[in-house]
Amino acid sequence: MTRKNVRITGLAALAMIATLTVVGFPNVKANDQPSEAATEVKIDNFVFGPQTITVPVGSTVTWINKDDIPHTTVSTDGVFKSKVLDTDEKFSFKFTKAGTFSYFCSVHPKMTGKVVVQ
Amino acid sequence: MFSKVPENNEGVLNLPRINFTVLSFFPIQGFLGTGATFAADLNLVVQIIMGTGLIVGWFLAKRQRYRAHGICQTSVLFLNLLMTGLVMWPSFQQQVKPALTKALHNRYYEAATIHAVFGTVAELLGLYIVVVAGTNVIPQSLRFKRWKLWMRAELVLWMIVLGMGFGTYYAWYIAPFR
Repeated sequence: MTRKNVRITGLAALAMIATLTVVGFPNVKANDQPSEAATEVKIDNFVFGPQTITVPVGSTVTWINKDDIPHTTVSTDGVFKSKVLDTDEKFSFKFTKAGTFSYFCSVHPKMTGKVVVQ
Repeated sequence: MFSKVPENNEGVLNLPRINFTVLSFFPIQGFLGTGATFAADLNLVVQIIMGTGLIVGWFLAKRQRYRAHGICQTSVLFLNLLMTGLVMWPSFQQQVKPALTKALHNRYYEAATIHAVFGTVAELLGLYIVVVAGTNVIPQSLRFKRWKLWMRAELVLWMIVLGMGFGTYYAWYIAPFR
């Protein structure tokens, strides 16, 4: 390989890295957005996270209490209702119909969240 | 009260079940603008009224209106028993009792546990005073004679418990949402 070829190969490699960097970042950012595949909601520090989650019909959403305080998950329109969840306890519900399901913690009603089923 | 909402960890049980939790009689959202439930807000307001009632009762005793004093203090005592049964005990049982092992490691549980212990003592002492003052059920040997001392001690204890109640309300429904 001549010195000229080495330079060309080096420049091509740099161009490829630059392209991947520029094009790659938006992809990383897109992954930070609420994912439609996410089916786990963490309860931590008196907040449901993510507060809104979008899932396909037939998905099972699991709430896990990562707080050291008891919480519940209760649907506003009475579709589902968990028992009081202590630390690390889970509650799952399968969404078989499309719609937007608002829910809250019945112990701390200021804690609210939403499941969007599409 | 019947609840048609599935309530288990899998969320699949659809059988109606009898829900004995008296808390479910109340609406969920509180009315004081904090993170509290309606029942907790109602209890707070009733407790403030009861605390004021006890001070009014104390003034009645000072003015030697003993019958009115007795009615006032006894009403507060029984109203507190009702609020304990309707709001505080179910709430304690639901949230604190299952986690008593960590009760002294977390302000959330500490506040409620200490309030519950002192509150129980205050309520029992109040009942004892009412029974001694209003009936002859208690044998003479178990009846106190220094009325003012016992009643003042009960009033002071009640006020301390009331303060602890405010502390519990703050730890549960205000501090986490600030």
